Amino acid sequence: MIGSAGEKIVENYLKNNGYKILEKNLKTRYLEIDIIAEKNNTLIFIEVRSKTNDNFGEPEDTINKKKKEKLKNNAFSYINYKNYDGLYKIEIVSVILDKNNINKKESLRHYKDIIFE
Amino acid sequence: MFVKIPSVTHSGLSSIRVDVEVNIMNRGLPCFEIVGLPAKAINESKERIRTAFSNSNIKFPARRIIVNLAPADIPKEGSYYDLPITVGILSYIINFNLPDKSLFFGELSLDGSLRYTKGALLLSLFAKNENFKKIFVPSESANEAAAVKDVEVYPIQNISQLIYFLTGKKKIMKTEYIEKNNDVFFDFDMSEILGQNLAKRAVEISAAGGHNIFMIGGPGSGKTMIARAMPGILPKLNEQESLEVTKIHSISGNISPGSSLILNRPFRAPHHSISSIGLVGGGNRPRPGEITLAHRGILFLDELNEFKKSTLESLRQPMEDGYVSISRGMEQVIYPTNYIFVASANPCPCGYLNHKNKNCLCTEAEIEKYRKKVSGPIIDRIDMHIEVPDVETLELKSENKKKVNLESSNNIRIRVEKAREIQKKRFKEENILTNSEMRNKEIEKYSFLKESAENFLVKASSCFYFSARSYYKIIKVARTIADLEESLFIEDRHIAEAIQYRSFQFNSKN
Repeated sequence: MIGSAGEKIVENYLKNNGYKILEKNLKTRYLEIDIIAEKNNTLIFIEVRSKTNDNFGEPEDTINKKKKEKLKNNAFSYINYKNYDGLYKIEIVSVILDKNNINKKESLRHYKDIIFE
Repeated sequence: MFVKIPSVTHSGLSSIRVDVEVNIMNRGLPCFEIVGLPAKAINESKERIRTAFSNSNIKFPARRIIVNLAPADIPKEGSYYDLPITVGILSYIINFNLPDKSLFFGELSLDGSLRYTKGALLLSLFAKNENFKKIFVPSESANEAAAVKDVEVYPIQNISQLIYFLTGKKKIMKTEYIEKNNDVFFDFDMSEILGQNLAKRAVEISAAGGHNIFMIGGPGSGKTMIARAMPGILPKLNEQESLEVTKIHSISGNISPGSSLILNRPFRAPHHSISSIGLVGGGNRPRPGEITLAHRGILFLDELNEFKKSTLESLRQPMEDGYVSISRGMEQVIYPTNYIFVASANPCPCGYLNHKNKNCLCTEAEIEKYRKKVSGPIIDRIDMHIEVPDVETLELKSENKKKVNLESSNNIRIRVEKAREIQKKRFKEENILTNSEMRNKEIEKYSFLKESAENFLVKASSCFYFSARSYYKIIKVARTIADLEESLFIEDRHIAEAIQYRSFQFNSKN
């Protein structure tokens, strides 16, 4: 419920910011990617993190090392599957939803320049 | 995009060229990796650089950045690759031509400024040898690096200033070498030491010829005070010595930021709890020990008997050779160890053996055990052995009144400098500076021993059973005594005085 509401908000936000959405909720045996988009000739994998209130930490806090590895592997799988040879990025959008109306956002943060070690 | 920025890595006191290769790709997932056997501090430079960029309001490129420190099979250490890596990344963001024939060196601070980085002198020496014209170093290390002539040293304060310089918007003034005030520093003046005229004379000879000296005396007789006054009677370092010493202290980070070449002779007095590695040097990547840090200066071991036996024994070769070769798994290095060895000890465990008024409470066996802690080979390598007897309180008082008559360190230093000058002239064709460094070949050639003096020495050695080494050491000390008198030949009296500094046998019953 919260997840899909958050993804919808993020999708609108990305469209308004010039992202071209290629895939949504891509789920196969091997991978699970929230949104795949394209901007400035760069393929962008977007992970959406949503939460209703921030009493228990920020949404992006839930991204740990294991999740980071997973994001990386998902992106790799897609790249290999599509034989893509260009710049690609992983971005994280964290959104906090209104407690009373989950279709309304309280705040949104977009992490664009994530560098993986 | 690929750039190559030359830099260095150090192995002991020598430098090896390292190319910092930075490759930034327009494909793949953004990452920042450093390869080429970086140590922990180099790997952490990723975080320093990224934070420094954001604090200097420069957007760090979200691209695939690979940094290679070539040659890749030599382990790299230190924090000075921050600047070359930064320049490499900057060349992707902004357009500029890399200044040719230049080296970059320096550690970044999180705020984007550059910190004092150790080893700048070695870098500029390397630049001179390898024909690099310019070096870019943190401004606090610039003066040290500018001591080497023919190399242009550019002091860098922070990243923003560097960008202005590289894009040609602002100039950076070359550092002109400034010699900082380097007055001879010593704890005590010789004129503060009352009595002990014999010991003072011995110390003067030791300073003039670079001879090792061993002082034996009861507690409170002034052994330590005399040793601590010794830096005051030693001449300043000459240009070549100064470079040698500053190199050692530069690589071990003992130089304060912004300082110039070291002109004072180092004085090292490690506590007797020191390990043999601490004394001789060592570690996985061998670092200089106390004996190397004391190069061209004084190594003072107070309470020689209290040092661990194995620690003392490790001094044997470096004392004789003037260098120490340290071999470890990672690398082998040679450090110079040319120092005046000054040691002090009590004559027995209670300290009052041969005291005028007090009774020694030690048994024969106790004294023997105490003295055996210092082995014969070590004792034999020390040129001069002197007894420092107790000073009577009455004598102290009377001398205190006529203090004006006591010689100051500055006066003694003038004599020592003169004697050293004579030695320098004599050895100008050899690779040595002082009498103590003479080998047998040079002794034959330069000692100018009178025949009567030689006969006297032969007679004395059959009486005292001097070892072959002792025999030559006596000639060396006699040579210095003659130099202090500005006498060309070694006369009987010089030999006689030199023998006097040999007659006390610490570790044999007499």
